[in-house]
Order: sequence, then structure tokens, then C-alpha cells
Amino acid sequence: MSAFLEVKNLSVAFPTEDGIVQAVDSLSFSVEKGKTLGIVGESGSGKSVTSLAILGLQKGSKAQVSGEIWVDGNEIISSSESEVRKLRGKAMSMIFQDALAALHPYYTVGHQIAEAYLVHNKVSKKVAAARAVEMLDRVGIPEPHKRVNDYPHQFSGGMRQRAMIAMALSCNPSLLIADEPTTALDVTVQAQILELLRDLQKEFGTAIILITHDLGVVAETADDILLMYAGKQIEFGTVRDVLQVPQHPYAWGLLTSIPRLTGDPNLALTAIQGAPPSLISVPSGCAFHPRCTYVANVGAACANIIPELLPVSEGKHHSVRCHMSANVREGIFANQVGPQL
Amino acid sequence: MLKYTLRRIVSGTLVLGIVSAIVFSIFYILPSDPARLACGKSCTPELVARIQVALELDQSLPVQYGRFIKGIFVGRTYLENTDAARECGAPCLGYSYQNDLPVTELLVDRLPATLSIAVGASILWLLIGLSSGILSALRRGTWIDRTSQGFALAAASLQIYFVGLVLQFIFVDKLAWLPMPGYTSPFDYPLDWAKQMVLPWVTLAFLLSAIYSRLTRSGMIETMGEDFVRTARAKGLSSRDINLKHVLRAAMTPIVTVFGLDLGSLLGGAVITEYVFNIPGLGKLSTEAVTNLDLPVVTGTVLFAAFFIITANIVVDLLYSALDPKVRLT
Repeated sequence: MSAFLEVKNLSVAFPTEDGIVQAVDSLSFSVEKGKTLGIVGESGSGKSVTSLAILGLQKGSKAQVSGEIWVDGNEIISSSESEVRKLRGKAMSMIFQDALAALHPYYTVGHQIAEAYLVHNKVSKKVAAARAVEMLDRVGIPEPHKRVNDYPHQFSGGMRQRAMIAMALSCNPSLLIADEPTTALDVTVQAQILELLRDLQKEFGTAIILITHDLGVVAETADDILLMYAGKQIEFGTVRDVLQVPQHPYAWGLLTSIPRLTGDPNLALTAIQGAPPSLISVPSGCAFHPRCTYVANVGAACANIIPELLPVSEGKHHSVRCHMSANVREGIFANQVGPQL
Repeated sequence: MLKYTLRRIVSGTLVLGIVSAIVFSIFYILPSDPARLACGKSCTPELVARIQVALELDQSLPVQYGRFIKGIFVGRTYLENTDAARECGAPCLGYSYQNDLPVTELLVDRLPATLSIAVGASILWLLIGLSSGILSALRRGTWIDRTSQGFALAAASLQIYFVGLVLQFIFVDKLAWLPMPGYTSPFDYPLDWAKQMVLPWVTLAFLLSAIYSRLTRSGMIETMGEDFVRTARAKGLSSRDINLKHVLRAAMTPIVTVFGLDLGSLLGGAVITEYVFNIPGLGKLSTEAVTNLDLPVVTGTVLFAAFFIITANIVVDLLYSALDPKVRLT
């Protein structure tokens, strides 16, 4: 069975006055129904641009999108806006980071959910309104028949995100893209929202793409991890593989920078040196090389040749984009990185 | 809501009281004697004295003001117990000896012309301004956008007296398509009324639709970048629904505010337009009164204009709360 979502060689570039911004560069991945893919990376690594491309939301803008995106057998990039519009909200939908800004301030929450339902279902407004109450109830809003008439600003942060989820799921989409759904929320609410997503996924068999910069969130929720850096995927694998035996020096940096509750509280936090590159002038070769501590193990290739995304070992699901050989990486991880985790 | 409205009406009335007091005091401290100015060329000291009594300039300011305020509520009689007694029924805003009429009567007489100009022009400028602004925003960067916005910029820089006179020269003097602008009652001669009003409407709308077009365009474009518009697209809504229901709805709120205030100040007298086209409205009345130093009429027109502006402010605030659910009136 082919995956519900399949992305092949996706590239997205934005022409600007200062030059071309290569936001996403030859990205390939797939997600099956009922599975969750976590896309992890820093701000500006191309996560959100990827999700907008899947929904075809860059159509009509200046963005240059190439490659293939297959959603349930429909190719998005070559399709017209009106064809993609029929899939949006129905086959695939999206929830955004800042639910207060993402909901219209002048319409009630119920109206906005009903509107999403009405686009793809030929039903009366009354039926759609009932659907809104049902969805609010499903995502755990107390007294949904009353709250349905509230405006977004009358909801708390967690409730707003629940309402967003209710809206996104109102037409039972098979793919849900969650773009940093919990970033603006405090930790307890964050946990509730993630649990809600997991429950809904179990119930409806939705494929989920979870975009985040929080490895903790991915560890709890995702099946696979896609690690992005400067618009490229640099590591891909199951959550278990990537978090337990990470291969890319960037992944090592991310994992060792997480503070431990059991660690020495006086110890300075470790950080990845340097700053993320500008997407207008991405470093030559491996984009991470100016910040990489292990360039000496390889030499000139790091700065000159873009490493390919290769399986960590023959036939494995786990792949990485790094010039170091598997043996060298294994050695560094065992001796230098592992002990810090 | 009701409590808020009542409070606003009370505070608005207070503001009117303050405005009237200020207008009164300004005339009182004028360096020249209004009675002498109102007297004309063949003036005698006896005549000045009589005018002073008629204008009540022999009384102290508080007494004058007190009588004025009382007159608004119960009416009054000027030059009482003389053979030149003048009745002024409530609400009495003073008596114009130059016109030999109560000020209120003058105002009521001039209001329909101003009302005709304001309402007609505002419908026209809303139609033109909003539609061209929406079109510009939707076709941003195309020749349609550049043409309409270039036109708007040019129109906004022109002045009423220039546009008015040019239009009058072309359509009345040269082509003779329209009669001389003026005012006839729309209830008696609706066609004449419309024909005479066309030029004032077009002239005013010319300037204001330019401003509204730019306002609508920038509001729409700003809203298009909002997250909730992206959400609307992600839901699968058609671009028509997105632009009308989501973008325009949010962009309308500030426009409604500006419109209310524009209409309010216009109702107090479209001064330049009325002057240019010689239309007997409130604006013309006030300029005449200032020129002739007809103090009671000046006071009356200022108060009338202030009344419209304050009322428009209250209406706009109430509308705002209806348009934006985040605004709670307390």
C-alpha cells in the first residue's frame, strides 16, 4: 500500500530583492494513515514552508515550488488552485501555532467550525451548527452548546487550540498538519493537547505531521522523525532510532543541549556553537559544517561537497546526511556524545 | 450598553455646554464692539445703544449665557415690553436681527440643503471609494491597481473649489448639460433637485472617494497577511468567500469609524462646497454669519455643528462595539 502522503524532491524558493531564498531543498518523505511524522528543526529550517506547500497554500504567491506532493493519489504542485481547494480541509487540514491569530476575531468559534464543515458538505446551516457543537464536545470543551457562541478572545489559550483542532477535523481529514500546535501553550495544557491529538488519531486513523522544534514533544507523539537544517533533511528515522542512536552531529548538539533534571545544577548549559545560516547564502558543502565540531574527521569534503542522504546501514529505515563514515560516527557517539545523554 | 449610551449622551451634552460657553466668551472678549459693527455706515450713538440692548450686550456675560441656556429649553422673548418685541420659541438658539428671524428657524431652513449634499455625496463616495479600493487590493500590482491608486492620489491632492469650478465650467457653462447648482425641495421637484445636486455630490465625492479608496485598499492588503486569512484558505474556502467574508469584514471596521466622523462633520455644513456652488446650506449660513458678524447665528451654527460631531462620535462608538466583539462598552 502506498502512503497517504508522499513528498518527492520538494523544493521551495522565494525570490527576494537580496537574492533567492532556498527555504526547502529536495525534501522527500512519506506518511501513512494512522502514523505521525515529527518534523524537527530550528526557526527558518523550512518546516512551516514545507507544510504550507503540502496544502498548496503558496499557489498565487511568488514562491517557486518544484517536485511532487501526492496526497491520496492527487498531485498538489501541478494541480490548479481550484482542484487543491477541494482537498483542503477535507483530505488534509492544518492547525497553526498561534490559535488566537489564526481564528477570525469577528466570528464566533461555532461559526468558524460550521463554515469549515459547510465548504465540503452540502448540509443546512443548522446541521453545520450542530456539527460545530459536536466537534467542540469531541475535543473536550465543556458546555459546548454554550461555548459555540463565544468569540475566540473569550476562550483560553488551550481551548482556542482545541477549537482549532475541532475546526481542522470537522470534515474528517485523513491528513492533519500541526504546525507547532503547542508552542504557545504552557506545559500542562501542552500535554493535554498532545494527548487529544493521539486520541483523535486512534479514533479516526489520521496521518499527522507534527512540526515542532521541541524534541520532547516528538519523542512523546511521533512514529518517525525528520530532522531539518537549512531547508534540507539531514536525518530521518524512527523516533527510537533517531533519539537513541542519533547519527548527525546536529542531532547530537540538539540532544546534548537539553538540560537534565538529574544533572549538576551548577553546570553551564551546552549549546550548538554559531547561529543558523541565512537561507540566501547557505554555506557550501554540508550546510552545517561551519558549526560542526567534527569537521576534522573528514576534512575538505565538508566545505565542498553536499553529503547525500544515505541509510545508516544497508537496508535500514534510518538515514543521515553526513560525510563521516558510520564507524567514525559510532565511535564519537559512544565515547563523546553518549555519556552526556 | 444602555447605561453606556446614556452616559455618553450626558457627557456629550456637557461638551455642548462647554462649547457654547466658549463661543459666548470669545465674542464677549472681542476687541471691537459687535453692536458698532452690526450698525452699518449711517450709524448714530443712539442706534448703537439700541443694538447693544437688543443683543443684550449691556448685560454681564453670565446673565447673557444663563438667558441663552434657558431659552433653549423654554424659549424666550427678545426686547420684551417694547414695540419691537420678538418671539423665539424653544429650542431658542438666539435671534438674528439681521435676518429678523430666530436662529433655530434659520438653521432648520438651511438643514435640508446640507443634508442633501451630505447624504448624496456620501453614498457616491462610498460606492466609488470602496469598490475601487477593493478592486485595487484584489488586483494588487496590476495596471488596474496602479491606475486607480494614481487617480486617487491625484484626486486627493485637488481642492473642492478647484474641482468644483472646473466641473461647473464644463458641464454648466460650456456643455449646458446641467443647471446652475442650487437647492430645490426634493419633495416638490425631485428631478430638479437631483440635477442641481449632481455637481456638489460629484465634487465632494471626488475628493473623499479617493481617500476611502486608499483606506480600503491598505486595510484589505493588511488583512490579507493575517493568520486568520491563511486559516480560511486552509479550510478550502473559495477566494470570493475569503475576500468578502474574512478580509473585507475585518478591513471594514476602521472605515466605518472614519465614515461616521466624516458624515458628522459634513452635516454641520459642507462649508466650501456650499460656498463654491452657492447652495443655501448650513455652511453657507455660517460663512455669511461670520462675514456679517451676526453673532447669534455664528453661535447657533457652531453649536449645531458640534451637536452633529458629538452625535456621530457616539454612534460610531456604538457601531464599533457591534462590529468588533472584542470591544465591550462599559
